[in-house]
Amino acid sequence: MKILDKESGSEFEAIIEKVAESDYSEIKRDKGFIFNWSLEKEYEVYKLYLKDEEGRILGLLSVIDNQSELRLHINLIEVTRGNVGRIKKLDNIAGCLIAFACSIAFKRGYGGFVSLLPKTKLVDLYQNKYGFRQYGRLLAVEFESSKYLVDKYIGSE
Amino acid sequence: MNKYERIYKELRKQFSDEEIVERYVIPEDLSDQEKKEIEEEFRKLRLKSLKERTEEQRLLSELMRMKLLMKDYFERSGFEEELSFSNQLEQYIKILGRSKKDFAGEIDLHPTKLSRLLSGRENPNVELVYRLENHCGNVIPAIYWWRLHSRKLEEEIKTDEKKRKIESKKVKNNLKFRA
Repeated sequence: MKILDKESGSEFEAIIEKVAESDYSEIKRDKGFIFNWSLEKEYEVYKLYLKDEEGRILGLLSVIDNQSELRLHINLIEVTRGNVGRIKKLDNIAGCLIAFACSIAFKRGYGGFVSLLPKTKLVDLYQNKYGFRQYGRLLAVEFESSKYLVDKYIGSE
Repeated sequence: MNKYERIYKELRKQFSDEEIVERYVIPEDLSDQEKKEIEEEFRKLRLKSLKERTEEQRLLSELMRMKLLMKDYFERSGFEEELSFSNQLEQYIKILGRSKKDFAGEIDLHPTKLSRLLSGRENPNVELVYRLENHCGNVIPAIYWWRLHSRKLEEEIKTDEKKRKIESKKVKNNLKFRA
Protein backbone atom coordinates (compact mmCIF):
# COMPACT_ATOMS: atom_id res chain seq x y z
CA MET A 1 0.00 0.00 0.00
CA LYS A 2 1.07 3.56 -0.61
CA ILE A 3 1.30 6.53 1.75
CA LEU A 4 1.16 9.98 0.19
CA ASP A 5 3.54 12.77 1.13
CA LYS A 6 1.26 15.79 0.83
CA GLU A 7 4.11 18.26 0.48
CA SER A 8 6.01 16.61 -2.35
CA GLY A 9 3.18 14.52 -3.82
CA SER A 10 5.48 11.46 -3.65
CA GLU A 11 4.19 8.07 -2.65
CA PHE A 12 5.96 5.70 -0.27
CA GLU A 13 5.49 1.97 0.10
CA ALA A 14 4.07 1.14 3.53
CA ILE A 15 3.91 -2.14 5.41
CA ILE A 16 1.49 -3.24 8.13
CA GLU A 17 2.38 -6.12 10.40
CA LYS A 18 1.75 -7.40 13.91
CA VAL A 19 3.42 -5.49 16.72
CA ALA A 20 6.18 -7.53 18.35
CA GLU A 21 6.59 -7.67 22.13
CA SER A 22 9.80 -5.67 21.80
CA ASP A 23 7.93 -2.84 20.01
CA TYR A 24 5.87 -1.92 23.08
CA SER A 25 8.76 -0.40 24.99
CA GLU A 26 9.71 1.55 21.85
CA ILE A 27 6.14 2.83 21.49
CA LYS A 28 6.08 3.83 25.16
CA ARG A 29 9.24 5.92 24.70
CA ASP A 30 7.96 7.50 21.47
CA LYS A 31 6.47 10.91 22.35
CA GLY A 32 4.45 10.77 19.14
CA PHE A 33 2.02 8.31 20.74
CA ILE A 34 -0.18 9.41 23.63
CA PHE A 35 -2.28 6.31 24.28
CA ASN A 36 -1.02 3.50 26.50
CA TRP A 37 -0.62 0.76 23.90
CA SER A 38 0.47 -1.81 26.49
CA LEU A 39 -3.22 -1.94 27.50
CA GLU A 40 -4.03 -3.21 24.00
CA LYS A 41 -1.78 -6.25 24.29
CA GLU A 42 -4.74 -8.56 24.91
CA TYR A 43 -6.03 -7.71 21.40
CA GLU A 44 -4.47 -7.95 17.94
CA VAL A 45 -2.20 -4.95 17.50
CA TYR A 46 -0.65 -3.92 14.17
CA LYS A 47 1.90 -1.28 13.25
CA LEU A 48 2.35 0.68 10.03
CA TYR A 49 5.77 1.79 8.85
CA LEU A 50 7.41 2.83 5.61
CA LYS A 51 9.33 0.07 3.82
CA ASP A 52 12.46 2.21 3.84
CA GLU A 53 12.14 3.23 7.50
CA GLU A 54 11.41 0.04 9.36
CA GLY A 55 12.34 1.35 12.79
CA ARG A 56 9.88 4.24 12.72
CA ILE A 57 6.29 3.32 13.56
CA LEU A 58 3.84 5.78 12.00
CA GLY A 59 0.53 4.29 13.02
CA LEU A 60 -1.00 1.68 15.30
CA LEU A 61 -4.21 -0.32 15.13
CA SER A 62 -5.85 -2.46 17.79
CA VAL A 63 -8.63 -4.86 16.75
CA ILE A 64 -10.81 -7.37 18.56
CA ASP A 65 -11.86 -10.48 16.67
CA ASN A 66 -15.49 -11.27 17.53
CA GLN A 67 -15.87 -14.63 15.79
CA SER A 68 -19.39 -15.37 17.02
CA GLU A 69 -20.67 -12.21 15.32
CA LEU A 70 -18.37 -12.51 12.29
CA ARG A 71 -16.89 -9.10 12.82
CA LEU A 72 -13.65 -7.32 13.56
CA HIS A 73 -13.93 -4.43 15.99
CA ILE A 74 -11.48 -1.53 15.84
CA ASN A 75 -10.72 -0.63 19.43
CA LEU A 76 -8.11 2.04 18.85
CA ILE A 77 -6.17 3.76 16.07
CA GLU A 78 -3.43 6.27 16.57
CA VAL A 79 -1.18 8.00 14.08
CA THR A 80 2.07 9.42 15.44
CA ARG A 81 1.69 13.08 16.36
CA GLY A 82 4.52 13.93 14.03
CA ASN A 83 1.99 13.44 11.26
CA VAL A 84 -1.10 14.90 12.86
CA GLY A 85 -3.17 17.90 11.85
CA ARG A 86 -1.60 21.04 10.46
CA ILE A 87 1.91 19.73 10.75
CA LYS A 88 1.18 16.45 9.05
CA LYS A 89 3.13 15.49 5.95
CA LEU A 90 2.05 11.93 5.35
CA ASP A 91 -1.56 11.34 4.44
CA ASN A 92 -3.92 8.35 4.62
CA ILE A 93 -2.26 6.48 7.48
CA ALA A 94 -5.49 5.99 9.48
CA GLY A 95 -7.34 5.17 6.25
CA CYS A 96 -4.78 2.47 5.46
CA LEU A 97 -5.14 1.02 8.97
CA ILE A 98 -8.95 0.93 8.71
CA ALA A 99 -8.71 -0.63 5.23
CA PHE A 100 -6.26 -3.19 6.60
CA ALA A 101 -8.86 -4.17 9.22
CA CYS A 102 -11.40 -4.52 6.38
CA SER A 103 -9.03 -6.81 4.46
CA ILE A 104 -8.62 -9.05 7.53
CA ALA A 105 -12.40 -9.12 7.92
CA PHE A 106 -12.77 -10.32 4.32
CA LYS A 107 -10.02 -12.93 4.69
CA ARG A 108 -11.63 -14.33 7.85
CA GLY A 109 -14.95 -14.74 6.06
CA TYR A 110 -16.74 -11.86 7.81
CA GLY A 111 -17.82 -10.15 4.58
CA GLY A 112 -15.48 -7.29 5.39
CA PHE A 113 -17.52 -6.41 8.50
CA VAL A 114 -15.60 -3.94 10.67
CA SER A 115 -17.15 -2.07 13.57
CA LEU A 116 -16.07 0.75 15.85
CA LEU A 117 -17.56 2.70 18.74
CA PRO A 118 -16.29 6.25 18.45
CA LYS A 119 -17.08 9.22 20.61
CA THR A 120 -20.69 10.19 19.94
CA LYS A 121 -19.83 13.68 18.67
CA LEU A 122 -17.48 12.23 16.02
CA VAL A 123 -19.96 9.72 14.58
CA ASP A 124 -21.00 11.88 11.61
CA LEU A 125 -17.39 12.55 10.67
CA TYR A 126 -16.50 8.82 10.57
CA GLN A 127 -19.60 8.20 8.48
CA ASN A 128 -18.71 10.93 6.00
CA LYS A 129 -15.00 10.23 5.75
CA TYR A 130 -14.98 6.42 5.66
CA GLY A 131 -18.54 5.42 4.76
CA PHE A 132 -19.42 3.81 8.10
CA ARG A 133 -23.11 3.39 8.88
CA GLN A 134 -24.89 3.13 12.16
CA TYR A 135 -25.65 -0.23 13.84
CA GLY A 136 -27.28 0.86 17.09
CA ARG A 137 -24.56 2.81 18.91
CA LEU A 138 -21.78 1.20 16.84
CA LEU A 139 -20.64 2.11 13.36
CA ALA A 140 -19.77 -0.49 10.75
CA VAL A 141 -18.69 -1.08 7.17
CA GLU A 142 -19.27 -4.31 5.27
CA PHE A 143 -19.50 -5.70 1.73
CA GLU A 144 -19.33 -2.83 -0.81
CA SER A 145 -18.39 -0.11 1.68
CA SER A 146 -15.61 -2.28 3.09
CA LYS A 147 -14.42 -3.19 -0.41
CA TYR A 148 -14.38 0.51 -1.25
CA LEU A 149 -11.95 1.19 1.61
CA VAL A 150 -9.72 -1.76 0.64
CA ASP A 151 -9.63 -0.59 -2.99
CA LYS A 152 -9.02 3.03 -2.04
CA TYR A 153 -6.30 2.63 0.57
CA ILE A 154 -4.69 -0.73 -0.18
CA GLY A 155 -5.32 -1.15 -3.91
CA SER A 156 -4.61 -4.23 -5.97
CA GLU A 157 -0.91 -4.07 -6.70
CA MET B 1 -12.86 12.75 33.85
CA ASN B 2 -12.61 9.40 32.03
CA LYS B 3 -9.36 8.43 30.32
CA TYR B 4 -10.39 8.66 26.65
CA GLU B 5 -12.36 11.85 27.24
CA ARG B 6 -9.29 13.39 28.86
CA ILE B 7 -7.08 12.50 25.90
CA TYR B 8 -9.72 13.74 23.46
CA LYS B 9 -9.91 17.08 25.29
CA GLU B 10 -6.11 17.37 25.13
CA LEU B 11 -6.12 16.69 21.39
CA ARG B 12 -9.00 19.10 20.88
CA LYS B 13 -6.80 21.96 22.12
CA GLN B 14 -4.53 21.36 19.14
CA PHE B 15 -6.75 19.88 16.43
CA SER B 16 -10.22 20.17 14.93
CA ASP B 17 -12.60 17.17 15.08
CA GLU B 18 -11.99 16.59 11.34
CA GLU B 19 -8.26 16.34 11.97
CA ILE B 20 -8.81 13.98 14.89
CA VAL B 21 -10.95 11.67 12.72
CA GLU B 22 -8.18 11.65 10.09
CA ARG B 23 -5.70 10.33 12.65
CA TYR B 24 -7.51 8.56 15.48
CA VAL B 25 -10.22 6.15 16.41
CA ILE B 26 -10.85 6.98 20.05
CA PRO B 27 -13.31 4.76 21.89
CA GLU B 28 -16.13 6.12 24.02
CA ASP B 29 -15.66 5.81 27.78
CA LEU B 30 -18.37 3.43 28.94
CA SER B 31 -19.35 1.66 32.12
CA ASP B 32 -19.56 -2.13 32.03
CA GLN B 33 -23.35 -1.89 32.09
CA GLU B 34 -23.42 0.57 29.15
CA LYS B 35 -21.05 -1.67 27.20
CA LYS B 36 -23.26 -4.68 27.83
CA GLU B 37 -26.40 -2.88 26.66
CA ILE B 38 -24.73 -1.58 23.50
CA GLU B 39 -23.28 -4.99 22.66
CA GLU B 40 -26.65 -6.70 23.19
CA GLU B 41 -28.44 -4.24 20.95
CA PHE B 42 -25.73 -4.57 18.33
CA ARG B 43 -25.74 -8.37 18.44
CA LYS B 44 -29.43 -8.48 17.54
CA LEU B 45 -28.90 -6.14 14.58
CA ARG B 46 -25.84 -8.10 13.43
CA LEU B 47 -27.57 -11.47 13.54
CA LYS B 48 -30.51 -10.00 11.64
CA SER B 49 -28.19 -8.61 8.94
CA LEU B 50 -26.42 -11.98 8.63
CA LYS B 51 -29.77 -13.68 8.02
CA GLU B 52 -30.71 -11.10 5.39
CA ARG B 53 -27.45 -11.38 3.46
CA THR B 54 -28.13 -11.48 -0.30
CA GLU B 55 -26.55 -13.78 -2.87
CA GLU B 56 -24.74 -10.78 -4.37
CA GLN B 57 -23.23 -9.96 -0.97
CA ARG B 58 -22.16 -13.58 -0.46
CA LEU B 59 -20.45 -13.58 -3.85
CA LEU B 60 -18.67 -10.29 -3.19
CA SER B 61 -17.44 -11.53 0.20
CA GLU B 62 -16.12 -14.80 -1.21
CA LEU B 63 -14.42 -13.10 -4.15
CA MET B 64 -12.80 -10.43 -1.99
CA ARG B 65 -11.54 -13.18 0.31
CA MET B 66 -10.13 -15.04 -2.69
CA LYS B 67 -8.49 -11.90 -4.06
CA LEU B 68 -6.88 -10.90 -0.75
CA LEU B 69 -5.55 -14.40 -0.13
CA MET B 70 -4.04 -14.31 -3.62
CA LYS B 71 -2.48 -10.94 -2.79
CA ASP B 72 -0.89 -12.39 0.35
CA TYR B 73 0.44 -15.26 -1.74
CA PHE B 74 2.08 -12.88 -4.20
CA GLU B 75 3.84 -11.20 -1.28
CA ARG B 76 5.32 -14.54 -0.21
CA SER B 77 7.91 -16.36 -2.25
CA GLY B 78 7.61 -19.79 -3.84
CA PHE B 79 4.87 -21.82 -5.44
CA GLU B 80 1.92 -23.21 -3.47
CA GLU B 81 -0.18 -25.90 -5.10
CA GLU B 82 -3.40 -24.77 -3.40
CA LEU B 83 -2.97 -21.40 -5.08
CA SER B 84 -2.19 -22.74 -8.54
CA PHE B 85 -4.21 -21.28 -11.40
CA SER B 86 -6.19 -24.49 -11.87
CA ASN B 87 -7.09 -24.85 -8.18
CA GLN B 88 -8.16 -21.21 -7.92
CA LEU B 89 -10.24 -21.51 -11.09
CA GLU B 90 -11.92 -24.59 -9.63
CA GLN B 91 -12.54 -22.61 -6.42
CA TYR B 92 -13.99 -19.73 -8.42
CA ILE B 93 -16.48 -22.01 -10.17
CA LYS B 94 -17.49 -23.46 -6.77
CA ILE B 95 -18.09 -19.97 -5.38
CA LEU B 96 -20.29 -19.16 -8.37
CA GLY B 97 -22.28 -22.35 -7.85
CA ARG B 98 -22.41 -22.94 -11.63
CA SER B 99 -21.88 -26.16 -13.55
CA LYS B 100 -18.58 -26.34 -15.40
CA LYS B 101 -20.47 -26.58 -18.68
CA ASP B 102 -22.46 -23.40 -17.99
CA PHE B 103 -19.36 -21.56 -16.82
CA ALA B 104 -17.42 -22.61 -19.94
CA GLY B 105 -20.24 -21.17 -22.05
CA GLU B 106 -20.21 -17.91 -20.12
CA ILE B 107 -16.54 -17.29 -20.86
CA ASP B 108 -16.73 -18.65 -24.42
CA LEU B 109 -14.57 -21.73 -23.81
CA HIS B 110 -15.13 -25.26 -25.04
CA PRO B 111 -15.95 -27.50 -22.01
CA THR B 112 -13.05 -29.78 -22.94
CA LYS B 113 -10.63 -26.86 -22.84
CA LEU B 114 -11.97 -25.83 -19.43
CA SER B 115 -11.52 -29.37 -18.21
CA ARG B 116 -7.90 -29.35 -19.43
CA LEU B 117 -7.25 -26.02 -17.67
CA LEU B 118 -8.71 -27.36 -14.43
CA SER B 119 -6.55 -30.47 -14.55
CA GLY B 120 -3.43 -28.40 -15.29
CA ARG B 121 -2.92 -30.12 -18.68
CA GLU B 122 -3.34 -26.78 -20.42
CA ASN B 123 -2.11 -23.32 -19.49
CA PRO B 124 -4.17 -20.13 -19.53
CA ASN B 125 -3.50 -17.44 -22.12
CA VAL B 126 -3.82 -13.67 -21.93
CA GLU B 127 -7.28 -13.71 -23.55
CA LEU B 128 -8.58 -16.03 -20.84
CA VAL B 129 -7.35 -13.94 -17.92
CA TYR B 130 -9.06 -10.88 -19.38
CA ARG B 131 -12.28 -12.88 -19.66
CA LEU B 132 -11.98 -14.04 -16.04
CA GLU B 133 -11.41 -10.49 -14.85
CA ASN B 134 -14.54 -9.36 -16.62
CA HIS B 135 -16.57 -12.38 -15.49
CA CYS B 136 -15.84 -11.74 -11.79
CA GLY B 137 -17.00 -8.13 -12.07
CA ASN B 138 -13.38 -6.88 -11.99
CA VAL B 139 -13.00 -7.96 -8.36
CA ILE B 140 -10.01 -10.17 -9.20
CA PRO B 141 -7.78 -8.40 -11.76
CA ALA B 142 -6.50 -10.20 -14.86
CA ILE B 143 -2.95 -9.79 -13.62
CA TYR B 144 -3.79 -11.81 -10.48
CA TRP B 145 -4.99 -14.76 -12.58
CA TRP B 146 -1.87 -14.45 -14.70
CA ARG B 147 0.45 -14.33 -11.68
CA LEU B 148 -1.05 -17.57 -10.37
CA HIS B 149 -0.01 -19.18 -13.63
CA SER B 150 3.41 -17.52 -13.78
CA ARG B 151 4.25 -18.67 -10.23
CA LYS B 152 3.85 -22.27 -11.35
CA LEU B 153 5.80 -21.59 -14.50
CA GLU B 154 8.65 -20.08 -12.46
CA GLU B 155 8.68 -23.13 -10.22
CA GLU B 156 8.86 -25.43 -13.24
CA ILE B 157 11.68 -23.39 -14.79
CA LYS B 158 13.62 -23.59 -11.53
CA THR B 159 13.13 -27.28 -10.90
CA ASP B 160 12.68 -29.10 -14.22
CA GLU B 161 16.20 -30.55 -14.58
CA LYS B 162 15.07 -33.10 -17.15
CA LYS B 163 13.85 -30.46 -19.56
CA ARG B 164 16.92 -28.32 -18.86
CA LYS B 165 19.19 -31.16 -19.97
CA ILE B 166 17.12 -31.98 -23.05
CA GLU B 167 17.07 -28.36 -24.18
CA SER B 168 20.74 -27.75 -23.47
CA LYS B 169 21.59 -30.55 -25.93
CA LYS B 170 19.89 -28.56 -28.66
CA VAL B 171 22.17 -25.52 -28.15
CA LYS B 172 25.28 -25.06 -30.28
CA ASN B 173 28.22 -22.69 -29.92
CA ASN B 174 27.10 -21.52 -26.48
CA LEU B 175 29.13 -18.83 -24.76
CA LYS B 176 31.67 -20.01 -22.22
CA PHE B 177 33.23 -17.99 -19.43
CA ARG B 178 36.10 -18.85 -17.15
CA ALA B 179 35.00 -19.59 -13.60
